[in-house]
Parts: sequence; structure tokens; C-alpha cells
Amino acid sequence: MPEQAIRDVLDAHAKLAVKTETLDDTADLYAYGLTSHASVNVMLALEGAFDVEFPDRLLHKNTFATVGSIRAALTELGVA
Amino acid sequence: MLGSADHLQLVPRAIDSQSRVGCDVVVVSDIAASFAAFGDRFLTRVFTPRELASCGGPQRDQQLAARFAGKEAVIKVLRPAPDVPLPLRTIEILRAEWGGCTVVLSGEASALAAAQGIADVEVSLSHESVVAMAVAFAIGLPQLTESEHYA
Repeated sequence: MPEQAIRDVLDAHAKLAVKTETLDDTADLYAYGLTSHASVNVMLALEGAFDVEFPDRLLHKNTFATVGSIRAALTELGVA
Repeated sequence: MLGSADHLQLVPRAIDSQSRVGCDVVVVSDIAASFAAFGDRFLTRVFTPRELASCGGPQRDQQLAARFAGKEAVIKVLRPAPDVPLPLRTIEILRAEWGGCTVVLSGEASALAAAQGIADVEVSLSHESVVAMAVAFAIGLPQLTESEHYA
């Protein structure tokens, strides 16, 4: 999975206070300004970028909390 | 509330530990931008058909933003753990007959409210041209007295 694609989506849609290149995989995105509305945008952009659909069971705060948790969710959805 | 029509006396009522309040504010242009970027996918992942049917005309963006704020305010009173799924469509903000809005919970939101002893959730929405806001208030189930526990 191209991790850069995740970071590109976050940079474009998450409205974080910093660029994701400054964050490691475990940095709390909510602490850097991710809002609920922005997380919806991130989810929709990830679906478009990776051709997946997030099921309801993954629609919780932890899924979008870090770059690593997003990568884990996409892996669970079959993204290689 | 007691008294005649020209002299009302407010009687304080205890707010028990299950009563909760939440609020949220949304920038209207952010909602419009999401629709511009993601189209109907944004609308159908966030709002129910009944909500979408109730929003229209020149203030549609404001109405949608207010409902988004309403859902977020309700989430704040439901207080889900960070690993508990809570799809936004399970929190429905609908127009009430009296002119305000009412909350209809379903699925995960309804289950979460029941598990936490929340009997009802009320919401109030407002918007200007650029911002929308909402306040939600959750009312707890009546607490049993000691005698009722042992009845």
C-alpha cells in the first residue's frame, strides 16, 4: 500500500495544523486538528483513492486517529 | 411551573447524573465544499433520505450544516468510546411539527443511548449565512429510589 497516498489524502482533506510529513505513524491526528467533519472528508477521499468502502463497523474515532490506524483499516478492507 | 398567566413561578427541578448537554458548530462553506468534492456520496453517507428531503431551497447548505452540527452535538451526549462505531445516519435530525427539530436514534446510536440509560435526546439548531450550531440535551431514565429497588 502506498503510504504516501494516505498522507496525500490527509494533506488535502484533513485540515491538519501541520503537513503529515512531519508526523510519524502514531501521531494523534485529532491532536493536530482533525475534526469529525474533516474525518468524513478523509474517509470519502480514501474510498476514492483506494476503491474501497468503509463499512459501518469501522466508522469510529480510532479508525482515523493516526496514519497507522488508517493503514490498518485499509489493510482490513483488502488494500495491499 | 406554577402561577397565573401574568405571574409565573419557575420551580427548580433536579437534573440527575444521566442528564447531559453537548454542542457543535459548523462552517456552512465546509459542508458545501464536501458536497462539491464528493457529491451525493457525501450526502448519502451523512444524512438519511428523510433529512435530505427536509433540506432544500436557497438555504440548503445552511440546513445541512445545522443538521451536521446537530448530529455532532448528539454524539457528544452519547459519549461513545473511541472504538465504538457510530454512523452519522443513525442520528437523524428531523423537522418537528411545532417548527423546531427532533432527534430520532436508530441502530448503533439507539443501542448506545439505551445502554447508558438515556431516555430522550432533544436538539436545538440555529444558523446564520456562514455558520450553523446545535445544542443537544439528553434526559436520563428515571432513577429508582431505594424503596423501588427493593419493591
